[in-house]
Amino acid sequence: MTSPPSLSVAPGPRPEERAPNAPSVPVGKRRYRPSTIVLTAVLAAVLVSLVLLPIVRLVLLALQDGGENLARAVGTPALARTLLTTLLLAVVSVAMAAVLGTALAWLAMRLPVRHRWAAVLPLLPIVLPPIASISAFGFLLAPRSGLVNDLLRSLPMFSGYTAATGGPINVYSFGWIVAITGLYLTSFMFVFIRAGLARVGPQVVEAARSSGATPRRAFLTVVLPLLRPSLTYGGAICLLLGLSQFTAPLILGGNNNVRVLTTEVYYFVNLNEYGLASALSMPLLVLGTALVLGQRGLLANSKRFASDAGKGVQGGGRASGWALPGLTVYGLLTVVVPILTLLVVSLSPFWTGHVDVSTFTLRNFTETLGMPAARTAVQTSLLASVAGVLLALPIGYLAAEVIYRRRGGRALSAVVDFVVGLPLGIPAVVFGLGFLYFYSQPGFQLYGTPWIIVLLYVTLMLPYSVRLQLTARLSLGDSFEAAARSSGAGVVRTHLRIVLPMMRSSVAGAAALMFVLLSHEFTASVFVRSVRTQVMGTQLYDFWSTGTASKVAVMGIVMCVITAVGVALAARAGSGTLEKL
Amino acid sequence: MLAVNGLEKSFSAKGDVVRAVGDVTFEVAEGEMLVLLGPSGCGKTTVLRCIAGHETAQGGSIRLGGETVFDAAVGMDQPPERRRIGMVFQNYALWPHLTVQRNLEFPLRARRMKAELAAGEAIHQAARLVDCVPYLQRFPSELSGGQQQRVALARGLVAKPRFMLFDEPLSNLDALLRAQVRHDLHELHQTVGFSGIYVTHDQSEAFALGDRLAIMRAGRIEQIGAPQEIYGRPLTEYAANFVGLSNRLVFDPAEGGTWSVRGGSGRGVPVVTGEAFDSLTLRFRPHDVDLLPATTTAYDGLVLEGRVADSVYEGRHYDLSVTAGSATLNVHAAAPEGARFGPGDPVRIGLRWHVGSWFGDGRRVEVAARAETTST
Repeated sequence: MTSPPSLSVAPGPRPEERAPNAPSVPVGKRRYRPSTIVLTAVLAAVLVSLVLLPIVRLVLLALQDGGENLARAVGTPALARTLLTTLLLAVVSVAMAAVLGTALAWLAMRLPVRHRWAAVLPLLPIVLPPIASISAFGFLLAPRSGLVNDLLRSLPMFSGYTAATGGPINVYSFGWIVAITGLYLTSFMFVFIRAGLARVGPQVVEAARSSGATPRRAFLTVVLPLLRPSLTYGGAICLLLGLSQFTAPLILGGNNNVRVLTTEVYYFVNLNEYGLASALSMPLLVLGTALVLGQRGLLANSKRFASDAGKGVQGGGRASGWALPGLTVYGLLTVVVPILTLLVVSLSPFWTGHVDVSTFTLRNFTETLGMPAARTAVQTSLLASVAGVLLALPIGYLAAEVIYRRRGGRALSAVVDFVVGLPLGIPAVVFGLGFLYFYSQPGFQLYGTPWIIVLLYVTLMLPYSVRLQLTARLSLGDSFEAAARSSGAGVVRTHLRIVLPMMRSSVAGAAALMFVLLSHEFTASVFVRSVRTQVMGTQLYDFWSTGTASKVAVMGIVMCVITAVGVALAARAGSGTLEKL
Repeated sequence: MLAVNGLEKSFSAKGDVVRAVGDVTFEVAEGEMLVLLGPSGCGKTTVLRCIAGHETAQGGSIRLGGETVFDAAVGMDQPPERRRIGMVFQNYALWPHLTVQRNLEFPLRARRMKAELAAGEAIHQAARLVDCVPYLQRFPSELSGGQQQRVALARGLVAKPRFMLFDEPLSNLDALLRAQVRHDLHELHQTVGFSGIYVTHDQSEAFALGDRLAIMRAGRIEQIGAPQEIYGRPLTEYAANFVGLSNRLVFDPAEGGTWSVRGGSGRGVPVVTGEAFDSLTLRFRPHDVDLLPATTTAYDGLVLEGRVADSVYEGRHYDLSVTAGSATLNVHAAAPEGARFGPGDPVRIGLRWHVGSWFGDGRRVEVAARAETTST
């Protein structure tokens, strides 16, 4: 055997030699282009002036002179009682909402396929104008002139009550305010629990059932423990919502002196005691900021701004016969009944609590809508809402761009994310007060103009605008933008011709949703309104305060109609926008 | 045409720093297609995106067509739209709200090539190149995956860029389609003669399309060269695996300066290396193996005794799974006359000396066989 051709004896060459002493490069070194800096600076200026300045000014006011206002606030009469009422209202209504919300979410999961549409029912109260629906409950359950009381009194068991002394139900009591608040918060809890149930998934429940567990046992021992995170997060957010409840205590609490922190703030503002008002708003401000800080990611998560896995949960186990009736009852109670009540009251020439269909007339509508004040209020509402949306959208787009692309670095995008979330976490009452105090100062003097309302609206809608557009950006992905840039398009052309058109439906849905929320805004608007610049919600409140039931009802119907139009637009424009709530 | 020098890119994810690209240097000549080949995470896409301008590296420089488009040392980073490249994406990235025609017009509009736009010829030429003229008025959602990818190709070429970048463009296509589009791409390259970089994890694509290959691993280039060079002389085990040398035999030092198959009981193999190694690894292809008859004749190569684990008879060839020592080898060879191989049968396999690659410490080692007879 001959030896094979001799190959070299030396070892083979190494792969590419490493450069000796290669410098370790710091991660995150970037070079900024002038256009980026300008845009970021503009965004920063807008965010600071809309969100931070009013809040900071309030804090400074509360703390000035060594906290003199705080001391005075502590010394206000019956503060302890106010705080206790606030706390009780929040806790009890959240507890109620947790139970009801979980039950509704569970039922929604077990809807038969042909009744899947009913899963949307618990979401509707969120878009109904609270000021209108709470007024409706007032009409229903007022002790003397309430419709329900009127009906109850005709029953033999309640014969002891008369129209003079007041019927069995008194909606102006603490108990009923809690009940109504709880009913309203149930919608929010439903959103959280439904998301949590979707994560739990039907298989876990089916496994329990196959192992011999009854539906009740499966729910208590399997589903409920798995829902704990959703219950906790949802509970925390609903607690904050409960603590910042304003409309119900304001409208219904006056008679029996049911006072909470937010109504106290309003009370002192009406007395021009801004120092006291700001001091009293501090607990809410601190709590809200803590919530935004601590649950920044969770706020986005829990509110399910990311698109859900379809309407309701697919195949949520065996259908339950209770599902449709249960959801329908809730829908009737919270949506149909209030609207019908408003309709009835608005069509009755004079409201006594007794319904007489034969006297129905449209006179109230022509009268009320003929009033310049009412017409102006509707106009201002619509214009301010539209303006608010038109301004909030581009600001939100910019902010979403900064957060999404981390332009300007990770720190900046985190800060922007935080600041943009503040108007959602901090109660609207605080923002209303802050705007009133800051922007009516000399130098701004926006009080009495519609502009202060517009700016306030823009601020309140920032979180929605950012989150919804950010979600859309995330689901769009990078490649379409990259393809445009590689094809020679600059940043502006890329956004105008590629990114924005592709986000069309999300932006439209967001716009419709924000319009709905703004058109029935009351809580913050009531602080910045003036005699000549009213919005629908505040005008309705004025009518309520002067006791003209028919005008209240007409205004309420108008608000509901506008809301319905907005919701229809949202449903058409952005598929699943309502679910994205 | 393209010169990349010392490219460095790291990402920080959840507190850890990942060096995605480390000191990458290479050149692409005019009219040449360089393929970056490697598994996911090896940094090939990051390199591509740095060249495109979608990522900014932290170190190094990139020169394109004689112009510096990126230089970390002086802080120069040209934005993507000014680099005059064409890019084809894995998921096509056709703009769904524009017709095919408008998709193709976009680069011309963006680069303000009014003359070409007005003439309309450039669009038709590009569409003809990829055989997409009938689809010009359709929307991307009305096209199949293969059609979309071809439109994406046309879009990348329509503005006649000086350099093309391909980011795994065939990954989203099914196997049949992939072969077809790959063939079309090859033809396109021959016809148009563009220079470009093609990123893929698929060896067959790399060999079919690349004038040169660069095998990447963990952010670095392991080996760069013509396909034949890498096929014949992989410099590392990693590269060897990529070009199909899937069979692996480990040898431990035995007495008398020989090496024995790990786990095996046969005689030592008399090979000599220039350096001392703890172990040697031999890599070879299933096709490189000969099936030797039981009666021995002189064989100019390595002979191994093994046992058949599984066999598939294909008429002229056998596809065998053979255990030799502690290794399992795949053998695809012509069967000697009259031989039958069933599970459990003993088998002798032979590997000629110049076939297969030896590796020590993961890198290529040249071995010499001792001049003595190898008999059973």
